Amino acid sequence: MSHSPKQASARRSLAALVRAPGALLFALALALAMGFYAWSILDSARRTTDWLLIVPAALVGIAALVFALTGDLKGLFTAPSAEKPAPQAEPGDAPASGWFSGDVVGFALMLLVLGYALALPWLGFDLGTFLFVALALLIQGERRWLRLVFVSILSAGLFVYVFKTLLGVRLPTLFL
Amino acid sequence: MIDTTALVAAGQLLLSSPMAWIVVPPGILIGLLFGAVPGLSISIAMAVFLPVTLYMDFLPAILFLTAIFTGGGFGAAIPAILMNIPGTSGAVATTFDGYPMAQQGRHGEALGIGLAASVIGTFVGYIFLLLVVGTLAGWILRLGPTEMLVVAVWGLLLIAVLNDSTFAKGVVAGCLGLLVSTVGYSNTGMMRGTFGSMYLLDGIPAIPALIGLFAASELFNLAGRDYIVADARLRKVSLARIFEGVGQAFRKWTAVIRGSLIGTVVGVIPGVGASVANLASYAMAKRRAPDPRTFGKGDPDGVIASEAANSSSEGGGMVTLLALGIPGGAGTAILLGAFAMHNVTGGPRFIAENTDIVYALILGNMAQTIVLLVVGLAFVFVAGAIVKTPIRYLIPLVIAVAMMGAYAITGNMLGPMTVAGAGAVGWLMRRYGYPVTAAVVGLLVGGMAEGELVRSWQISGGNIAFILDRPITLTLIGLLLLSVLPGLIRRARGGRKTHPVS
Repeated sequence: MSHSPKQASARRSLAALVRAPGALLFALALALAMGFYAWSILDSARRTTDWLLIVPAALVGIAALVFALTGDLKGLFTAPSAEKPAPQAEPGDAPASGWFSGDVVGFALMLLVLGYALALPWLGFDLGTFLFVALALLIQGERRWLRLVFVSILSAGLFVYVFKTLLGVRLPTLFL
Repeated sequence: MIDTTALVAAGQLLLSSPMAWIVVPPGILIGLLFGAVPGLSISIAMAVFLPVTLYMDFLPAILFLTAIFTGGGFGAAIPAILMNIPGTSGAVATTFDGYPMAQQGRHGEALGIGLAASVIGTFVGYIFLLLVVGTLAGWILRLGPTEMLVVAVWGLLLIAVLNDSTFAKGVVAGCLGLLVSTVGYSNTGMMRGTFGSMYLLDGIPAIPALIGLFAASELFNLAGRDYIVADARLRKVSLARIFEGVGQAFRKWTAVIRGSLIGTVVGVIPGVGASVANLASYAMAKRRAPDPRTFGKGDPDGVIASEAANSSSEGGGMVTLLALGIPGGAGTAILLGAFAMHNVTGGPRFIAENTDIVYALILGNMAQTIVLLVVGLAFVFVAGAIVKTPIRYLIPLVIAVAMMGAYAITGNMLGPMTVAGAGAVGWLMRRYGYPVTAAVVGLLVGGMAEGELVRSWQISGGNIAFILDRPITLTLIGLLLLSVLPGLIRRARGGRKTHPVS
């Protein structure tokens, strides 16, 4: 890559700053979920053995979250560039364009998969998969329309055929 | 050491089930493919193809999955040698000398060496498994609930300590997995965390959750990061040179065996697998070499060290999985998921009662290495074209297959829903540095851990002093502390210094 070390370090520290609120929110959500689950179990338990694993696991988890979070924040304030690069950040995979486009595309894809799962009961696996593959390619920057439509139709058709006809899974479908 | 009657029975079992042989070549091919495409990992392949094994018997199902495992070990070496891009984290050290060899025009030789080292490495790992599994199971069968509980906690802690992320985050992920595993109707007859939903009565389905955490979340992470392979020069491969490399590896058999033994031992430890084994073995080979300066400049011994170790770590990981029922990494976690899908509980009781099946598994895996040799040779010639497949096409296709597979497993929409939800959680975990493997292992051993905990409680009547009368438990706790503490102290001391300054 052609970035100078200085630029790279500035870029990392900015990335760390952008990540900090997210890391905080995620840790908070996890802690709340663990705490609420343990409390609800303790509340309705009739015997010790009902909560014997859950309450200690939740307490250890919450304590570890506090440690993890202080580590995150300390790293942010003392040396922003000390933020460990994401495991996938190997030399070979620079973001396609812009600073955070990789993250944004990943996030969009995650939402798309959630939408795909929620829409499956209505769309069925044939139409749902076609739309999912087409949109996923679009999000990732594929603009060769003919290829995009061809791949989506072919893959949706092929996969539904394999699962429904060859493997005998009763996939809910709309057309096929 | 080896139960010969069971060994003979295992041979008969293998010979009488053609399915166990038919599934191996496709499995190896899938592993080679997913290993060779940079970004896709072996755990994605195993997770996505796990539902396919629903329709197989237990033995072919496991052999199919281990074939993916075996194929992936060598598949990752192909882009490592040809383009300096390790196909998976297990082939990082392969690039150190493999790519310089390719630059000198010795890529055919390097591929041959890598293939032979992978084949022998896998073989050695499983020989080790064959030798120790019976004895080990005999010992472990004598352990009581408190001991097994300590062993389960130990496994989880090791995964948390030996991970790339911080210890605290590893513990968080492990606890999260344990808690998620308790959702549903409990053994003691209590409804937990179901929010009144009928779907969740059986709990969160473990296999779709595993597919989401291992495969979907990693695929989200890959999106928008096209690997720069399009401009990499692809070289012509000649069969004669590959055979030359294979021959060379066989002549250097001591180096291959050394790498294999290191890989096997590293593989036994939960939390480390191929990704640590290849680096450890490379470092050891370099230190013991007569002239360490040749390493990194195209020394065949470097390729041998890396490839023998990453392949043999599979057999080592199987030791922990089969004997204790505790997976040490992503690959063995998926195998444990497959065990559960076929209503098999891994662990000493399974080995003791089904020694023939366990031996058949091991023998089948040894036979797989020969298939790897043949399929791997053929694959090298087409690999160049496959490695160039743009990852953005593979991502949605693999996710779509995973969703259909998840539906096949649960028979309702809970499967795809779980894949999507676990994928989202896994993506956030990876983003903020929480190891997903620890969560999956927690999820899979949660039921066992709770069972042993409840039994310990019932035996002792809730008196903690009870463990003072159990010397083996105390010894195990001592070993646990001994193995976990040094790493923790080193981290606490050197944490600030060891941050990579790139």
